[in-house]
Amino acid sequence: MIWLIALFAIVLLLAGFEMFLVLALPTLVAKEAFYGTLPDAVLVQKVIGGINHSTLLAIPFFIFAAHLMGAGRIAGQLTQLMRVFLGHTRGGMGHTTIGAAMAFGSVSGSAPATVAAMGRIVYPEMRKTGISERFGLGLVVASAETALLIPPSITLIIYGWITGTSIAQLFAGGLAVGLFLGLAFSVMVTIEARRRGLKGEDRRPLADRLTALWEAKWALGMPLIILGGIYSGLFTPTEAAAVSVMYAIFVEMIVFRDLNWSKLVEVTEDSAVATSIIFVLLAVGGLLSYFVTLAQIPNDITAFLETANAGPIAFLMVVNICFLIAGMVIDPNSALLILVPPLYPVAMAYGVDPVHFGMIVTLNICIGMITPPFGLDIFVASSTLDRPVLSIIAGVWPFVAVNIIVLLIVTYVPDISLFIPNLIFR
Amino acid sequence: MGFLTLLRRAERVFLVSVFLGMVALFALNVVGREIGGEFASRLTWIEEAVRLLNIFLVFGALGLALERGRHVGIDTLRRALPGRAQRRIEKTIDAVGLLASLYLAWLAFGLTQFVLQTGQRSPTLDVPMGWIYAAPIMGFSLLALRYALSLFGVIDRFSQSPGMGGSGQGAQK
Repeated sequence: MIWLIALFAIVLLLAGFEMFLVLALPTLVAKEAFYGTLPDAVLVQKVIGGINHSTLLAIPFFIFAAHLMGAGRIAGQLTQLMRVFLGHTRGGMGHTTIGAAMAFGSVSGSAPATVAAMGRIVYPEMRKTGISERFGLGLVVASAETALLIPPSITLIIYGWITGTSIAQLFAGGLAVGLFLGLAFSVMVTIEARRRGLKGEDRRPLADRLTALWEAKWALGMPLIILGGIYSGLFTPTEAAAVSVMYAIFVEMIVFRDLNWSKLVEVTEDSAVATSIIFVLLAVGGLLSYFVTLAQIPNDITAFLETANAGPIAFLMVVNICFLIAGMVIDPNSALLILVPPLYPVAMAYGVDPVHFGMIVTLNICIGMITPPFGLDIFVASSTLDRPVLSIIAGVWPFVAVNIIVLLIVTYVPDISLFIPNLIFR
Repeated sequence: MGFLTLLRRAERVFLVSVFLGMVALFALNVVGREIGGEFASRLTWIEEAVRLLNIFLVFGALGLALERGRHVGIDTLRRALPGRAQRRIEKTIDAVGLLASLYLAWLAFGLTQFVLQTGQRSPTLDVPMGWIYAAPIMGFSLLALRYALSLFGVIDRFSQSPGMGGSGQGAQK
């Protein structure tokens, strides 16, 4: 019976049903099949319970702030800032791309949004400095992933909500792992630049650097509010999110004057729709995880792994494989909602740190987003840069490989994830 | 002005005022806490109010998200099918979606009535708890309406979502 329900879900998924139906319909069937005596009211209660929590309020606020700040001149300013600091290195425009993606990620926290905003600016510049089409496309797509790790990250908030892990600690871990991933891509850029004999641009004078820094000051205010606010203890993550919306409205309406009232209405509505898309998944996810717990699936997994005599290392390998496959096929939020409830209790039983587990999960999702055939960022890059999907897929493979190596290192060296959280909190 | 135009305008007014209200209230809450004292303790209802508003925001936007083809789904395979098969699957999705959202709206309606009868009230706002469940009634009804409109060919929601989730995914996460 359970297999029939799983098969039903797969059919819905492949036919292209909305993801919330893919999660909800099999759950409703399972309820009728196994828990028919349970009152139907429970279903609605779980749906509301899945979204009625203050931790989750950070999500609509961060989405709103990113919609306000994400477009327009900020992407250009951050790219310019990175270019004057990194352009003179070997393969400088490649390093600039990575740095700009990470800086943009500290404002937006969305990998596809980062591809869309940065791609158009950095890709033509990379080509001008002699970076090949294949490598350039791969780099644009891959470096955008760091946005999922660098705070604010919706993925980490959702993980924190499902598992009850501190968002502030997850953000600290994400910062470290995001930097580590960026560094790995930088090494690739250097190797590629050496192979092709690329040089850097001329080193910029200090005055240029200071000018670029000054021009990007409003964009840089955002991470200052979010990270500074949270780690100084001034704000909770949710409060930091709300304050960053006020800040974004102030910057866009009063400083830049890019935003008038009717544009604000449009952006607000658009952010509401974007919020709804994520929360409807969280709502049916609440339903799903209720039945996962009722059916004692985590216990079954633990029992199975015990009889198979698997240690924590083998377990984490299983986690990596499950998430990689899920990330390749479905969207990151659904992957979290389906896989974290059954696997997290098992991870805890093996003594894995919650923050470390969160980093493993998020990195897996990152890889999924750039892995063919369904990786979302590939399609976003294809439409923003107007390049065929197949060219992007050709460029992305080496980055997927390096990403998997980074994942294995992060999985088996917990200190990378825990270094900053330990420094601040423990 | 047609019914749909009117509905879209109503949805827009609702969503924009709820969202901006949430931001204003929560920011006021932060300011209040910094000032502290009696002022802060008078603002304790804000957190709960914003949570409630968020629930209404989420369900209020469900229908619009569907109409604009923004809900997440994997349509790559379906799009690769020949036109006729594609249309057929799309109609099936619309029909199933319509039934599912009507069923969920009905469940929410039952729960609203039940909780209103118990007279349970929310902890700090002191409003009847049953009203929370009015949000899913509204949301799933708006969703059912869009599925029906798409099923009968009044709106075209399938032609505008490239890849998973379209710009909704693109804009965030």
